[in-house]
Amino acid sequence: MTTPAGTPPRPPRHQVDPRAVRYWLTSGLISLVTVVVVAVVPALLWEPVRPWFLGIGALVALLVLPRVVVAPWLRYRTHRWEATDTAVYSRTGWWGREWRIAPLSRVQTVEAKRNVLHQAFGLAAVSVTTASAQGAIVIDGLDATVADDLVAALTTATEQTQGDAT
Amino acid sequence: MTEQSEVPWERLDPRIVLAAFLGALVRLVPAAVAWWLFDQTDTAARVTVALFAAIALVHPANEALKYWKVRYRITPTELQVRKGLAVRSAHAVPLHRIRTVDITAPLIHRLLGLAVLTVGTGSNLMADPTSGVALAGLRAPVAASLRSRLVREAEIADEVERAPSTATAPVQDDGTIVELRWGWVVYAMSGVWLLVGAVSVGGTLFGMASAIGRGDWLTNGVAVAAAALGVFAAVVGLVAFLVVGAIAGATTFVTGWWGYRLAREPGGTFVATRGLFTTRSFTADRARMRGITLSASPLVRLLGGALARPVMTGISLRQTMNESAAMLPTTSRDEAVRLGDTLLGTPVLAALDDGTVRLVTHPPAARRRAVARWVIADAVVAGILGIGAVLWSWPVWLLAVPVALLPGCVLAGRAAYRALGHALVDDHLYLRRGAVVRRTDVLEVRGISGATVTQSPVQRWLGLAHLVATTAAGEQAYRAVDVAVRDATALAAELTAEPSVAAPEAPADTRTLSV
Repeated sequence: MTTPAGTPPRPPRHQVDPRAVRYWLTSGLISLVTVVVVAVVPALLWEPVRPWFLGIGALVALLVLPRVVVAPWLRYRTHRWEATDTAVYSRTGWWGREWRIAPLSRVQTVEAKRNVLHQAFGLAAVSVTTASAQGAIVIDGLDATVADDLVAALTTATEQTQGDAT
Repeated sequence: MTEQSEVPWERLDPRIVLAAFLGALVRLVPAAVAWWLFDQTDTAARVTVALFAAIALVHPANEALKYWKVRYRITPTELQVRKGLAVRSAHAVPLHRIRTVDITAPLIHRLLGLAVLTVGTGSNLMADPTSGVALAGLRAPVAASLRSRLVREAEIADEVERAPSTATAPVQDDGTIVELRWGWVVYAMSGVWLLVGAVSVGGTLFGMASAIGRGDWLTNGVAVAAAALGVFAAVVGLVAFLVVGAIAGATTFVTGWWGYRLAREPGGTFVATRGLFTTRSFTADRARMRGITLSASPLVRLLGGALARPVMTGISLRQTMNESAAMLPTTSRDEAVRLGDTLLGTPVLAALDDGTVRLVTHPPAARRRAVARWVIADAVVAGILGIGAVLWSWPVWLLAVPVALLPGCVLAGRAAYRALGHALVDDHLYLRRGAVVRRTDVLEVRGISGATVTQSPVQRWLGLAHLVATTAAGEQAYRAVDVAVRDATALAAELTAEPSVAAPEAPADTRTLSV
């Protein structure tokens, strides 16, 4: 379509760590294997429910499949982030797209999270929340050191702002 | 957290023990009635009666114990509440964090001159121990004086944040802004209760009857009535459905809004008092208002009514759920506009009505999407009926239903498009949407804590996007649906004061943090 609808927000400055592709691939594979196991094991053990379990299992597996086949690479292309001395800015998504902006004056908590899989790849996810229950910014797939530096820098920067930011 | 202080600890009023005892008696009534109607052969019924009796005793016993368990005091900086006999727990709510104070008095409390005082701090975290505290069972005058003291203290701490308040509605000498008008009952009767009233009443009756093993009384009664009425059964059923719904709506309105009065207090806070059996008094500070939502369901809109709801910070989830924070009933639209503007302190809604603020219409692509959504829903229905006709030999004429509905779907989509609109004027963001329940949100930009632009693949193709403004107030997220992507970008940049987001490239001179 050639509607002169303008351009979306500009891409944030930084890409996430390249290892994030393997992280997303692994987590996708884990979900896929879980679905297959959950469907196949009862199907093998219990004859009457076999078609149901295999049918529903195949359907769910089909829905999970893109997470393994395409999502990790598309995510890596889309996921970008940026932190200036006034705001945190991110772009995420692989099917749709989502740009999130949180001014530092409204930021309430900043933390780096590392689950087991993150740790295996030396990665981390940084989450930035405001006083709103909605719209937390999560930057997933950062190098662990970069994440720690980012958290430290954001914490210092937000401490200097005043008020309860509501 | 809890500081040492010389202020003595206070107890709740001893009459709460009596209130608890009376409460137990009232709660035993269902058990007694159930026993009397008891179907002796039904095990489930016997269990129910036992449960009724147990429930009737457990809660009041716990309430009565509160007299011995609960101690509270107000130090210069905190409201402290201590609970427990063996295991002690302590809550301390810093006075400057108190956002709302709310007094309710259930009937038994009221007869004994008692009231419940609830303090809200605006934390939305369920687990946050400072998110709010309730003192159940204060003498009514004590609750009232505590309320004014807490509100005063909270204001002093907040003076810096206070916005200048300019009245837009005439305020009487005693501060009254509006009082109950009985005509509003019409809106309560034509609102959501019209549809859910009969379901709710019927469900409750049947539930109670079957709980004591007499469910067949009701079902038999309905069957006999239907057989007697013959062909008129459907018509009579529909009329009965609507009448019960309207009565339920009217009853809810009368009990909930009896003696309603909204007033401004000398300090600038707003107090809404209402209630027939349970009286409620809800106090909220002008500085807590972050906007107004004006909404109307179809019938209410047809009758010229609307509901104005202030978008406030500092309302806990619990207060939102039990409606104790409601400050306005559904009124005539003009009145809703006037009251909303008064609460917000600026004529934002009036500006929309008199044309001072004009909403930006959304691009034609948004109309295509709105129409497509309704048509696709219709097509899905047709598809299901088609599959049913082939596989399970459903009657083929059923397919005429989605075909007949098609023009209606197109019209509904177009109506949904016409409802769309947004504007960012001065310090207010206006958002309007909804073909069925139309709603207009007006948000103060100072209350917006972030912006999100989302785009699905279809929206990308059509050059559309959603813009979501997140806030700590009200519903936490307010969205502009299917905006031109250019507008979404510009709004996001402006709401967050980050002009660089709308620029084609990241500016070279901005200082970035780390990396």
